[in-house]
Amino acid sequence: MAEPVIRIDAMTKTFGSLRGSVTAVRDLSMTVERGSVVAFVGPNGAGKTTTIYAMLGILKPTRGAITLFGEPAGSLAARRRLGFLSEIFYTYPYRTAGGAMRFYGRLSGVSEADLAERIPRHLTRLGLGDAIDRRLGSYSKGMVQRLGLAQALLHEPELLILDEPTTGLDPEGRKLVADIIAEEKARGTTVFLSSHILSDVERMCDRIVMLRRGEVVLSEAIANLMTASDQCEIEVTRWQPALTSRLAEAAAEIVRQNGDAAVLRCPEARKDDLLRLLLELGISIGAVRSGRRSLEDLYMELVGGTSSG
Amino acid sequence: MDKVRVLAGNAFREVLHKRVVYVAIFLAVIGVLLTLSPLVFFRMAKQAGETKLAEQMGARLVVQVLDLWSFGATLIGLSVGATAVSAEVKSKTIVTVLARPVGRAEYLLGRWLGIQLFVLLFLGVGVVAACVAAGFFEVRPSGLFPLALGELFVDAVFFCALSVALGAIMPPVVAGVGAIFPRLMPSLARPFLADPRPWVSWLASTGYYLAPAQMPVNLLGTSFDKELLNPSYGLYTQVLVENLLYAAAVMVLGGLVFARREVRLSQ
Repeated sequence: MAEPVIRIDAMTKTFGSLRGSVTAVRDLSMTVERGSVVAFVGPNGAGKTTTIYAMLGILKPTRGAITLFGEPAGSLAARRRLGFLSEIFYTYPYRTAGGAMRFYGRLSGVSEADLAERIPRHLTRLGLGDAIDRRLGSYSKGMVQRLGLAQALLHEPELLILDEPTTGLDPEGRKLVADIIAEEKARGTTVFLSSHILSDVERMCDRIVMLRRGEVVLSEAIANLMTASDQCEIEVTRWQPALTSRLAEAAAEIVRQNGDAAVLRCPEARKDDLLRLLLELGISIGAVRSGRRSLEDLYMELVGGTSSG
Repeated sequence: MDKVRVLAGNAFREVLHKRVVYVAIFLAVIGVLLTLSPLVFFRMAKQAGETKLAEQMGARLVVQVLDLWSFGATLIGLSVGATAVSAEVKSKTIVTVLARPVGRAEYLLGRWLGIQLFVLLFLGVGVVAACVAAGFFEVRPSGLFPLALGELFVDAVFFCALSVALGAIMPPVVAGVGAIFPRLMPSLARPFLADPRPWVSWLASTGYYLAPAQMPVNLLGTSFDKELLNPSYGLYTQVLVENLLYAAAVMVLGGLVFARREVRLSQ
């Protein structure tokens, strides 16, 4: 079996200070397979950026280990094969876009000939072709973020680590990022993406890893998640609370109850079982609705209300 | 080595955009202009045919200008050097750099070389100007003068390297003070070397021998003295080389610690 591109084994990261210690990530384990697009999702303070910085070798795990391409995280061999964009791309305002790209490219060991060809191509692709000679101090927030993505792609990495890549971008910019991720995926690049925009995650990613207070609460293929979240809701009357215990027979639950009227919910696959049970119990059946729970519903259910900022 | 060159170039550009540098340059220029105010007396002495007095005044002016200018260079080296890494951590620009295949030692070396280049160029401008002034004042320095100029450059390297190395592993203010401290250590330790309490004398001896070698004479001041007896060129050169090696050793130690540390960014 091929070595996963990212392997995190029981990583814990605790920040100690005179005022005490804070555990940002607790016992995190996961793997990311080659060519996949994985979303790393969680509220503010869940430990996403800490995990990403540990993957880059900027922070060191308190316990556990991280390898990228089988190499220890932070090693030169691992960093040679990855491209990174931080949530807000901080760069040098006195440089021009072309100059900054040249600087980052040369640090990644890209040859002058390749830089001469790639810099205009990437900047044009990201809508910055006309501003190549402009100083970054005069760039808007969105333009700087686009430049950040361009520098991450410049050395054609095998792994892209993008921390909130759509921060500060307008809808057009967000679409551009989604298109580029799709292109990179088609090229075989592995993408590890931290994002709050769940509609983008649902559209772009193969897998989601959800983090809550430093712990993984969900790690699942998006396709499986969507199939599993196909739900059926049935409105009933003459409902009696005493019958609630029977709902488990059809993996159902009560969504709302008002007097003897109630709304029941069960997985789409168990709809027939629930209908049969309701008929058997002599309950009047009203409307039957089938639908899919969004990733946002799932997010709110699993991690809602735990944001720290 | 290409990455070090790229990082050095970037650090050099960064220095050009630091306000503190222009404040230091402004102060140095003002200081030099004030130092040159006795120029009118120099002219008067020359017109009166007091060539010896004029020469002495000219020599003193050249020494004062060089002292002041090298102080400016040291100030720039200390202030920019001590914040060489912390400024990049604060602005978070370090993240994108360290996410690339750049070794921590390469990074530190590049930052130092860029800042050092600026400091040496700044000092070089002052030295050239002082040499032109020496020609104008018709003062002829002794054979010690090249060594005295060498000492200025070595000092500029010493303070800049120490502040960059210490600034990578401790807060900038502590690093700045820490870079000056080794030079003060012998003077601080000397009175306690013969202290009757063993731990005090041991501590003083340790401090004394951990400090860099000290120049036994004021090279710049004595460069224009006519009656210099038995100058020890070998010893003076040795002190300069030892100081350079001291700076290199601190740089290596700082690099080793920095390479093993994580970089914590404020949220």
